[in-house]
Amino acid sequence: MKKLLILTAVAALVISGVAWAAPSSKPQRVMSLNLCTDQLVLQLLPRERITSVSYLSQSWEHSYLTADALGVRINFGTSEEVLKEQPDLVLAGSASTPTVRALLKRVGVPLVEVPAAESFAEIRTVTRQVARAVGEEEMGEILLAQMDATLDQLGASSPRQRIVVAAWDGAGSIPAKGTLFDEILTVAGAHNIAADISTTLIYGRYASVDLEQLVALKPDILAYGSSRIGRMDLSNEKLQHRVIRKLYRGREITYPETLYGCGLPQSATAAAELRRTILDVMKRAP
Amino acid sequence: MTSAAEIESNASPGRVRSRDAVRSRLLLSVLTVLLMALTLVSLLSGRVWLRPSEVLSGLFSANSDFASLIVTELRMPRTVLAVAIGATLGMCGAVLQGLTRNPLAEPGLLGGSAGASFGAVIAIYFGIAAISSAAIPIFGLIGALAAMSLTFAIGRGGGTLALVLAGTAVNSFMAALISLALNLAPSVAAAFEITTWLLGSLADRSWDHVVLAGPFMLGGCALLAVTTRSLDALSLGETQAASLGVNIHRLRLIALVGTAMAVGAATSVTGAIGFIGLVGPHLVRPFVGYQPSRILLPAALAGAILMLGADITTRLISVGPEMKLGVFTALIGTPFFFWLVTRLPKTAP
Repeated sequence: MKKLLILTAVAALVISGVAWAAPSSKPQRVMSLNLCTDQLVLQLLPRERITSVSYLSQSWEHSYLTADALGVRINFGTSEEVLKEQPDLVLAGSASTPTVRALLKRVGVPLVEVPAAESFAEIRTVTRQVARAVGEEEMGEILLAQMDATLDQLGASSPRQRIVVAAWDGAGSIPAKGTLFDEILTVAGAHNIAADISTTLIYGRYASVDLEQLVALKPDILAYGSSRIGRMDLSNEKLQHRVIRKLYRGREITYPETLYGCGLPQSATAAAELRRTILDVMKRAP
Repeated sequence: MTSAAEIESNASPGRVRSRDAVRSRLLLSVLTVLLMALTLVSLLSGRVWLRPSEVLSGLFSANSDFASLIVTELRMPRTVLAVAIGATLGMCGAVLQGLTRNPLAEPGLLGGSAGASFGAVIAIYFGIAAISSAAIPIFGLIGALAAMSLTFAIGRGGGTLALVLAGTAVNSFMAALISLALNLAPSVAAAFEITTWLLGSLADRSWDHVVLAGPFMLGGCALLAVTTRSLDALSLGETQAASLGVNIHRLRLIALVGTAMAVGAATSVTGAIGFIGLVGPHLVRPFVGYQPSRILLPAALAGAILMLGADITTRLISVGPEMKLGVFTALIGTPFFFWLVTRLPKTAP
């Protein structure tokens, strides 16, 4: 049954693929299946050339550019939607929606797979990749130039004191080398505490630390990710551990999670904001 | 299992009872000493190494340096919670095994833990936990009460087998509801938080948790302690117990509410911790015989020892992320469960 369904879908895609292979230098019907490509497409293209973006891009909890996504059609990343919308370019992440990507590749629908950007170098690569694919290289360079201007400013005025920051999620996991958070924090001019943690406690790109170890590492500032509508989970401030309340009153900051989920030209703005918050707290810290 | 004790006590009631009393007193003192020793070990163990002298001075000094903070605000509440929750689970297991006259009975089997988990997940999911920190234990309690009432209502009249089957069904239902909550979770982060919480852990708990859950656990255990005499009578069979003046319905109700209070509060602090309630009573039963009133206290102590021992082990195993307590007890407890099941044909009446 499942096989039959797939076969039918493949056949339908082949037929329709032939029908809508319109020869044009600039894709006019761009469909994005991934939150990060959504946010690039929304900045690179006029709305009439965007067929749909993923449903996450309209969620305040996940997307930074929700306002730009309002009014744009959304998709849930299914092959049926691709069939129905007949895009001339599909943008997808290189990790998500594997079955849809496999199907599109098999039937030859133009597909660009965009990896997640976890550093400013990767942000440049990814932005250029998407800009080239949609035929808006110039716009891509403008966005990157803005980003590089902010980065240059930040580099020229690095804070002299060493400020150690721990991004404490309340569940014992701290982003380490190789994560976008680490990159933004470094550019903001602070020291990520993950670099001081023994490598035996690093798994993947995260360090695992319990409260005892966190207290022993003595970071200057604790940073929490916050979504715009407030978190609905256990790392809520009211449920904060007494030790944290005792030691870190006035030395806690929050950062908007939506800005740290995808590597975008705006990540430079995130770094600038983070530096301002950190310096502010250090000035007033007890 | 009751028949052996009956035959033994019928043979020479006086002698057996006094021998049992001596044995149970001996067992109680051994368990108490063991628990105290483990408590000391617990204060010494953690991912940060503190010298025994630092721990001692941290315990008794008034100034809040970093060592004393770790000892008094992190390791002490964690130890207290492990002991209290382990004891609670052990006691609940003993009472439920006596009540259902089934060696496999425990809060987890009868749906209590899953119900409490679901209640707590609801509190996290709808953000009620963010409004008041008392929401999680209260919702846990309501969930445990609802789930166990359902089990007792469905399984009523069909004997112990029906009760256990009803418990299995209620467990699956609660698991389905938790999956639904995960399915509809508002964000990946929320789903992740719920999943991690469900794995069960005592990491980074504070005195706030003791204050929140303690009263409910105490109240629940007090209710359970009231049932001992009736449970003894019940071990002779329902009709015999009724003829001795035991109100079975009232007994069931008290045991139900007591377990729900205790397990609901305990689960809301740790997440689901299985098998402590099952294993605790079985460990002490060979030493004190099969009389429920004699098992309650040793089972509570054994539960506390198991829980504290398991928690210390998870703290000392250091492989990247901390091994969750619930995962550890499940891994250790399941073989014991297998063993119980293979023994069942021999012991079942």
